Amino acid sequence: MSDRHVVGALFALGAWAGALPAQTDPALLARRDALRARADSLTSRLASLDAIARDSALTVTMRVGVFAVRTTPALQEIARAAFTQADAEARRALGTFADSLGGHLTLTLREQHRAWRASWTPLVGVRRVAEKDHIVSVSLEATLDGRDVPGVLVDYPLARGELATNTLAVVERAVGFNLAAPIEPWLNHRLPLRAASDGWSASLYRTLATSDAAVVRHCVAGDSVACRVGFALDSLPRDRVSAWYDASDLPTLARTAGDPMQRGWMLQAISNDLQEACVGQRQVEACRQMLARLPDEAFRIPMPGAARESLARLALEIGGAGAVSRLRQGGAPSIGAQLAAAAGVSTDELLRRWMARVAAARPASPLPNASFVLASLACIAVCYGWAAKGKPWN
Amino acid sequence: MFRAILYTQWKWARPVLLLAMLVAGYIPVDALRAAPYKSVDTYHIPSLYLGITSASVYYQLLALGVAVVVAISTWQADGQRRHVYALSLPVPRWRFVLLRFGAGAALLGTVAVAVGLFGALAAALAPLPPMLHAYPIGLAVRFWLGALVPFALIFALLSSDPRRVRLLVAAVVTVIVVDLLLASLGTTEKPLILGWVLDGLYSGRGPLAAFLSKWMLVDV
Amino acid sequence: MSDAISLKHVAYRPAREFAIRDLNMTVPAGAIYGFLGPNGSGKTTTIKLILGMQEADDGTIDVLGHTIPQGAPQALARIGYVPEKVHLYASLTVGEMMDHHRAFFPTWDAARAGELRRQFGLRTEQKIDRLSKGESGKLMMLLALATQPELLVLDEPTDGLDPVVRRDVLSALVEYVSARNATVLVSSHLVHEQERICDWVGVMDDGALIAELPMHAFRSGIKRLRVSGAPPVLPAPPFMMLGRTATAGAEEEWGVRGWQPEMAAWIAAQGAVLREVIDLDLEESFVELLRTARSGGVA
Repeated sequence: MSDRHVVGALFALGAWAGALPAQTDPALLARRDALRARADSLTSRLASLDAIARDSALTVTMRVGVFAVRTTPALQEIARAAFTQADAEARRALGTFADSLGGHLTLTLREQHRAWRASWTPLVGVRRVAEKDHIVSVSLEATLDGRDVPGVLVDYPLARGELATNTLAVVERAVGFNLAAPIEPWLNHRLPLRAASDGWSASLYRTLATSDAAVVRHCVAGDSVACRVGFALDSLPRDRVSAWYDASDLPTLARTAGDPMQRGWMLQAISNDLQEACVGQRQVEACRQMLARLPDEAFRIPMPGAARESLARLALEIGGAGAVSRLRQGGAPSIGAQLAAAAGVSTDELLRRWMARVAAARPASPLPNASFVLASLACIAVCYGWAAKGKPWN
Repeated sequence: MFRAILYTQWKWARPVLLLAMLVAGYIPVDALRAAPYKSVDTYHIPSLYLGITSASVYYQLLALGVAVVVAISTWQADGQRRHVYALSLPVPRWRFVLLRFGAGAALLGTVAVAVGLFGALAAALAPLPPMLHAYPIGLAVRFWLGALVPFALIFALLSSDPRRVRLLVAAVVTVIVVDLLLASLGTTEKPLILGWVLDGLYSGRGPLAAFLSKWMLVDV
Repeated sequence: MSDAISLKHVAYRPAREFAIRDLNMTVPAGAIYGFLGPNGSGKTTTIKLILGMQEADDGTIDVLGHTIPQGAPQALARIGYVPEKVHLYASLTVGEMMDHHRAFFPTWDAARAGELRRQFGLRTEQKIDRLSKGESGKLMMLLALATQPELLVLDEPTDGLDPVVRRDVLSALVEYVSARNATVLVSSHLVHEQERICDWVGVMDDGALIAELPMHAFRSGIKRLRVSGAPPVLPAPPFMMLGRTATAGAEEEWGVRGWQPEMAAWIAAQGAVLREVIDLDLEESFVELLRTARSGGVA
């Protein structure tokens, strides 16, 4: 009988035992506890055996730039190519800090197998069909000084560029997980390394300009004080609602504030009439009263994560080679000071440049672009050609 | 000559075009209703933006609907008389088709102009905050081009040799059936050709790409 | 240019069960050409080929010096066409239809159009889908005549019209033709009507032109002979034998074309007796031709 079967039997037994009426026989209770302990130990043993079995396929160990890599023979070539590309991009972004990663960051590229495939049938839909064992995806895992960093799954067959991009994403998390407080949670435990595309920047501009928070909108409109407050660069304001929102924002804020999982609990203390007056009838005073009864934690920094990332990325760009190292040094009194240290310029200068960059990313006029116009005209021309040759009277 | 053709097509499609213009006037009013017509400071920008984003779909539906009706009405009268009158006119067929197509495009243009004018009017009445701007011309151009593509497709189908259309439909049905059969035999995870066709039509460069993007009267 | 319309070896198969085969047809310039034939004989199809509305599979078509279908637009600019069925846009008014038509014909004579409209009793604000059959016929004739065409192609222009309207339409046509010396191709199965106005006749049956000749030749050239005592086998006659039918006793009736009185001597030489020479009117001649053609005789 395999360990797996033993564990299953013990779980079943445990479940049955739990369903029995309360026992008082000490011998029986001792026997039950022993069985539970055995089940627990077997579960962890099974996990470790699984890990050993999975790792046994990782016979290739190599060093690519700053990365120590473990992978399978089948993935060796593509891994080398993709990690070389990722290493070059990471060096560009991290500067001299990249070298300090060497020897600390280990990447594991592991095959994920499947012995079935999905088959699509009309009316029935997708069903599983048994098939020869094959690779369906590849998991990219990382550890930094032995600490696990969240990994990613990449579709197989692999494309070098896609794997390199995913590698950078993992590196962003690896570096972001080891930043000094208070900037680590401010950056959502991720240090952005990749340059933003024009589309991403335009999307960020749109998000900021139509934000739920007045302070963010004012920031994009050119108010640097609003930016400083919206980013919470110095400290979190004492009265977050007044500092970040204006009257017109309050009904929506009252509807959305707080962690969705905890909203029910938070709103228990607030009368239904007050909630209705605020959310339903949009009475600003009712909203003020309602929001005043919510804890401060219900109001998070209004500047979205993407904006914070973009500010941090700008700081790294301005700061150059040693920027990441400076950012990782703790001791700064505020987020603004920490970013300014990384950038090597004042917080005001950093904000000024960031605002200029955001303003430049404002989407162009929504006039259709040339490729759309050409595609439309081509389609129209083909249709006209078809129509001109037609003989509908036949 | 073009004026004569335009007049007939206007007469045939007039009720729908007038209705479309009315709808074109109503959509921005409905979208900007979130904005009180008093001052910039008192309304909620995200709600306003959401309303305008939702209106994008109504503009697209309007463009599609009016394009279909104009295309059908363009050929209906000729089709009823088996094109005898059109064929007795002293103009080459390609030119007659061009005149009909041009007139249809012009009529769609009138609705696009209405979209632009009403959009500009509504945006002028609802004072926009500094972060938001009205783009009635961009919207009108997008509306016109967006409507022209389905108009051209239906126009081409309706002015085709019925045998050709039957052949085309038969080919499409055959491809779909073969595609579904192959998929059901387990060769593919999902219908391949249909997937390609839909991807092609709706990709960024496909002829229906216009319907993927947002048609915003007001944007940042 | 001596021929307004010329078709040479034209072949066209619009459907599996019907075909036009080796059609040769000539409409002389200035002629009023009656295009006769029973329903379904191919008259309308031939007219559509002439106007370039259908494309022949083989052969050549020339109309007013233009090769059809390539030169159809140029030819159509000089042609007035009245089709068999109403082909106008139903939702337009009479005035709108006239304006629409004028836009395509630089030769449009507005004054003449107005005159004809009054003459036909049509009002500009009348909607076309509310016009009676007679009024629609008049409007189509108006549109055809107001473009001052050199060639009028009329497909059953008076079919289904009451006698008063028919007279109005025909008199307008005759008046125009006499004033402009235009060529007319008029298709009809109303033989008597053709007899009154046509100077050339073409007879079509089952996709083939079985006769084409001047009206006077058609009218006087076809006779029915009552003959008795003729031998079963005859040598080649000096006239064209269209048909030979046994009647009562030893008598026979012969349908002949190209008859001259002196040919009676040839009959006598065969030992037969010519009892009677019967003159046929146009309709009887037409029927005789069709009967001969359908029985496989030479028309």
